[in-house]
Amino acid sequence: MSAEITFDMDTKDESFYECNICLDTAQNAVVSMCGHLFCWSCLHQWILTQPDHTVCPVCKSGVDRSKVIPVYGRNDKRPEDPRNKTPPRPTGVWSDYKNDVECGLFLYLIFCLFFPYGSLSFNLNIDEPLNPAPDHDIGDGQNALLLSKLFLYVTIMLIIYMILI
Amino acid sequence: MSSKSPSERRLHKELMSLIKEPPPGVTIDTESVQQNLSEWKINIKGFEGTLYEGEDFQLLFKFNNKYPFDSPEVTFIGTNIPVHPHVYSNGHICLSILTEDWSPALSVQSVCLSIASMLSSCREKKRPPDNTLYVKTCNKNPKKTKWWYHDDSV
Repeated sequence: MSAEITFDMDTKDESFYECNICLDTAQNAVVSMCGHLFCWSCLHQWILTQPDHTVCPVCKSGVDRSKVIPVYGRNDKRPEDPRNKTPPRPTGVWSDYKNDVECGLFLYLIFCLFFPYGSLSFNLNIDEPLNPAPDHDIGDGQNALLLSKLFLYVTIMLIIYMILI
Repeated sequence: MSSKSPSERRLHKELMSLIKEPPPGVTIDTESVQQNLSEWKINIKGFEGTLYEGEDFQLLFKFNNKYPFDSPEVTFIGTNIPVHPHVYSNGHICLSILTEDWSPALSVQSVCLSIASMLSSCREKKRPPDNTLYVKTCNKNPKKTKWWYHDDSV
């Protein structure tokens, strides 16, 4: 008997899933880190009205795009993409390791392009003796220029290669 | 129902809950709301045991189409404007939740409760010190006033 009553209360108490802004059942629901439920479109509109520092409408704790969690129900299929009307709900974070590495390499190559000799000498010094003869650097000025140019071309080739793949 | 704007839908919901379960001492003038959903007249009673016991006040809420993202414009109207350090004689109220501390999770009901509580905690009936000057120079809309919230004891 008591189980039946609990069941009744659970199904009738819809206000539990109401958005704290529009007071309707939350659509495209997101929950803030402080645990408050909103429609994504409602919360997004609130974030837009307070661009500098958005706080949770209920408890004033800090809230932004990255600090909300989307809530997916079992039958949350959404045949039409809500992104056509409102910005998408933030999705779970998944980082592409390969892309990160490629991006890092690309940035390094750009660095090499602007500082070809600097980065080269830094790299080559690892294998060289700790205290190279001072007159070696001064005497090889032309050689250094040549090397610098050579590595500039190599770097440009590498960047073109990176862009093409 | 679906043809209503989001702000109208929300106002309708609030109206229903205010009629169904009004907070103590708060009654809504349903006639005024039926004419215009964006202007509500709400009567509040001074609580027993406070300086305003036995007095009746009327509040006017004006909502724009950005509600609840934008706060409502709330003023005391009618013949009896409460004599209170945060209420000017033209009905304007100095209360932070009506401007910069507004949040869309607040409602007509919570604003009424805040105003009732502001009245209840008053120790001495007096007008704000700059009442005469303010009433002469202020904008008709209290939201246009740059309020200073320097005293939160009452």
